[in-house]
Amino acid sequence: MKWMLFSPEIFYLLAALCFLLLSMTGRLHRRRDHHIALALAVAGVAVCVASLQLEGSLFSETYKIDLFSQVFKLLLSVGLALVVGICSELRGIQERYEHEVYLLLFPCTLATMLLVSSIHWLGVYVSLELSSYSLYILVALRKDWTQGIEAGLKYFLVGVFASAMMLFGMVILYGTTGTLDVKQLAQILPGLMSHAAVVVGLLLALSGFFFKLAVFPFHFWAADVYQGAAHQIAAYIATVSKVAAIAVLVRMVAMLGGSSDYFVHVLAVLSVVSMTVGNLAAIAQKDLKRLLAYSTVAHAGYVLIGILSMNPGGYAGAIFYAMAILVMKFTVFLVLVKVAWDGTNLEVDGLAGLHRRSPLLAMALMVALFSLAGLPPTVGFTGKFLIFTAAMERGHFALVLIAMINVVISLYYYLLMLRAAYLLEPQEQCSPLSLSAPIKLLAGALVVVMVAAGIFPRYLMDLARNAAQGLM
Amino acid sequence: MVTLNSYLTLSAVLFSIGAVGVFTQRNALIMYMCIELMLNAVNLTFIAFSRYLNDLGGHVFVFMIMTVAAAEAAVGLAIIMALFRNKETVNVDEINLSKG
Amino acid sequence: MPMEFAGFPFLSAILISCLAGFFIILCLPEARAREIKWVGAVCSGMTLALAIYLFFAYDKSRGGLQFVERVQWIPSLGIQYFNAADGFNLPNLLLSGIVFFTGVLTMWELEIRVKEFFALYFLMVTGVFGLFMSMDLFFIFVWYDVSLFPMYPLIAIWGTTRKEYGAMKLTLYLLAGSALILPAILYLFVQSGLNTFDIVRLMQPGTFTAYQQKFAFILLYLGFGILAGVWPFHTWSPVGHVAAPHGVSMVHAGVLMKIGAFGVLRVAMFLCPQGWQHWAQLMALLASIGIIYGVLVGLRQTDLKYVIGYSSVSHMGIVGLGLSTMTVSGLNGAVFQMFAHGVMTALLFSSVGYIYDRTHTKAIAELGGLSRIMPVASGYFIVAAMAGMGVPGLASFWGELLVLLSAFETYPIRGTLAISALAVSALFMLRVVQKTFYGPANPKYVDLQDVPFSLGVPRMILVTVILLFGFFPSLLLDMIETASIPFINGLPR
Repeated sequence: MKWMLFSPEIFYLLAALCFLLLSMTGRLHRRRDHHIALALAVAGVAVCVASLQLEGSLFSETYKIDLFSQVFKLLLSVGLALVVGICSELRGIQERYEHEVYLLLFPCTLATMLLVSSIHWLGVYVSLELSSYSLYILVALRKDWTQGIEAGLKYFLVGVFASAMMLFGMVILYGTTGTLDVKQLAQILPGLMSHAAVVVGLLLALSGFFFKLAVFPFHFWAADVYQGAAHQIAAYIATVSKVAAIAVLVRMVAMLGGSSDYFVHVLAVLSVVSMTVGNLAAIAQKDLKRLLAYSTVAHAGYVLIGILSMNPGGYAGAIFYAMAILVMKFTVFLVLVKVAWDGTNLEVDGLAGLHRRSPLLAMALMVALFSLAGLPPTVGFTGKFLIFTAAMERGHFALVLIAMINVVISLYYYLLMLRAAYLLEPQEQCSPLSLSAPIKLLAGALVVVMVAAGIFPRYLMDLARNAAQGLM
Repeated sequence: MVTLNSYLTLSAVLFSIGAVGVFTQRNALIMYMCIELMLNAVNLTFIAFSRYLNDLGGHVFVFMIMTVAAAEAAVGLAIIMALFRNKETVNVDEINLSKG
Repeated sequence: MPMEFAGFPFLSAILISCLAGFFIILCLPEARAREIKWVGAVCSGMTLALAIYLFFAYDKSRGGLQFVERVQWIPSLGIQYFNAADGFNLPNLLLSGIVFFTGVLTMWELEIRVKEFFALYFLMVTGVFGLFMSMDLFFIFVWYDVSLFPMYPLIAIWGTTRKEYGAMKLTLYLLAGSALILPAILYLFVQSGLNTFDIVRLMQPGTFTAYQQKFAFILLYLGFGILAGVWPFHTWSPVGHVAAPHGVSMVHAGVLMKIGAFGVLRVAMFLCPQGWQHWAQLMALLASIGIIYGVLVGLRQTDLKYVIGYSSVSHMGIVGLGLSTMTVSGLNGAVFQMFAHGVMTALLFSSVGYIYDRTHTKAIAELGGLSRIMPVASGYFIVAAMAGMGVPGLASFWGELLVLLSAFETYPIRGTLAISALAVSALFMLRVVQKTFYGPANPKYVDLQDVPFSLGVPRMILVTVILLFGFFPSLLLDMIETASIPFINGLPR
């Protein structure tokens, strides 16, 4: 029965194989592929729900299945299903390679799932690379060749550089402690945290995830990659990939962070710089996806506050925030995909007249933006509230204040987006957007989720809390 | 007598050369080679530590890194090739990567 | 969820009628503007009726918290949905009901994007009501933001002069206030160690040390003070008032600024009385500067709405001065002034709104002799302006009197300055009235209609309220005293 523990991963592996076979059949059946992908992704969500309560470990204790990992697997599968949901028209992808999108999306999700369960550096490394390589290719598949390739190259170079740093950190930890098993490391490290080498090694070992999460100083790729990638792929990077990065950061810091002031200080500096740089850079952006990329950098800073608090509340806050990011970022991308239906990039002002072209999407955008800005009663506020409460418990008053000031800065550009959607009139006459019924339903459901999870966060919070409890 | 320190020094030097190279070189291929150099520095360290600690874990890790690096080369070189076909250049300054 | 209700939840009923209005309006199609307005009128009328009922049903002899409603919301963080009425918030609830109802009626002539306007309007007012009735810090913060973020679209879409600039400035300023409030609230939450956001439990003496109180008080004071238009953080207020559509200006100047003052009272002063004592001098100083500054800048304005905007700054200064005196009569005066100023500014904006809709100008120089063209509309404005001057027999007279008397005792110099500034303010209001409503009429406007009865209803209600509380201030003062006397007596000496 031990293989049951591995069922979500097995499912996604089989799904990926299925697409491998489909891609070999040659001719492109766009609708058929999309329907199969959607069915598989939804079935994947069901599998993850079914395996939510599983617990145990696999592969000589190097692969841990607990509530924390299963919650994140569920989030990842939901993220994939949502992204597949907006893939019905892949106009941003070169036609020749369209059927490879799912072939790469599913293994990438598989890799992120492996990532959240791995507690051995080897597993962490291999699954991180697997997910990254799929994304490098996906980004490069953009229809506008040059844009996609350039973005893919940048993503690749920064990513490989970050993983080299990560390996260097791992080897330092290996040299100082003699083990590659994170669980054993967790027992040895607390006594060694006063050594500079250990702290540096740990920080470097985490840099791979900083890269995924787009934390300063590994955030340079974000804007170009978002801009260069097709909208759906950018949505995937902004949601699923981020959630996985948060998961693995939370787990590693919870296991290894110990109580080193130095480590906390470095994380605090990274967090402050990320939020400030992200928000200030976002103000200057004209392109919608670049703006979102910088806002992601800022959000990475907020998440880091929860992680560096190193208390159950902080981890629970980070988990909750991962859920929030998934929903709110995806909503913005849903709007983006529908407004820029031809797959070209969209300027912020391109949202003009949205309130008349599609009141539903405009409303979804408004709620998502207020949620991103962290205004109640939305899920984004609750996430920030949990994180800030946890940080305050550890006495990080200044950090909370700086984060709140950043929230105000970020509000400026979110309001500019809102202004474009609600206030500006389009240059030429734009026809109303025609949305299919499922998309309308999806947009409505997202709005309800964002608001309901903001007003009644109790059950989600308890879930996050229980998941975090298992980490300690 | 070649001690652990010698290996560590060598790999630290290699790693630094690689890291500096990534920031100073503008040719995508050379940047990629510099990153490979960093990876190999890590490999060397792993082997040295593995030997020193009498632990096979490091050896295994090195094999994995080499395997993954092969996949990485496939992905990376493919992207660089595609870039060259389109732009006739692999100089990262000539493509507008580093704006904003 | 464990709940506790003392009888019928009247307070929640107010929120529910706001939200019901919001959802019904969302569901109605855009084209049915008439129905939307009627839904708005009915729902806002219900909130007003409930507020009036509460105001008179409150048992003044018993005092304290009444109509308590309590639901455990997030037990693990000690967050409760906890509403109650006392002598401080009932006048404000009544004020909100009045301004809300009359605001909806004032916007009766709105034609563009009616549905979105009223939906956002209802959302904003829900936040206002929620903040006034909540006794839980978490919910106070939530309602604070809920009442603010609809302001941006409301002003930016339906506003007039420099609307985008005004909307952005207002929103960023006010949310900068919330950036100070949230850390302060969390600080108090964590330092208390009680794991609760319940104000009643947190305000027990000895919960916080003097240092903690001083620290949290200044953050809360500045945070809420931005919304209350405390000098030097007032600059958003005239700009925002001018840019906003009339109904929004009414709620905004009439009620929203009170939220700031009320927040200082309910959160900062309730929880950190020692901090209050420590910073009272500063509060008095900023308030007096605000009074004088508002008057002096107001003198030079040429736009009717700017005049009202700056007079608001100076009137809110009076509220701040009253709060800083730490005396019963000062508090009474401050709360009374909150109420009176709310009604009075609502009337001012409502009548300016009518005039602007007809003449399409707010420039004082272009108007003139309006009292002959539309005597009724002018009459409303003049009544409100007189209330602003503090003429006896009108509501704000009592508020200003009480505050100035107690300020004169506590801070003689600042009190004197404030009184003289108010004398000047009377002059400038008279000047505006004289230039706008008397003198030669602008020939462009001679054919304009006066206010018909149906459109005059909101202004009539407001005038009635001003006169009612002008002649019977005890209606309100008795109510406020049930809260202010125990509060002042309970202060640590």
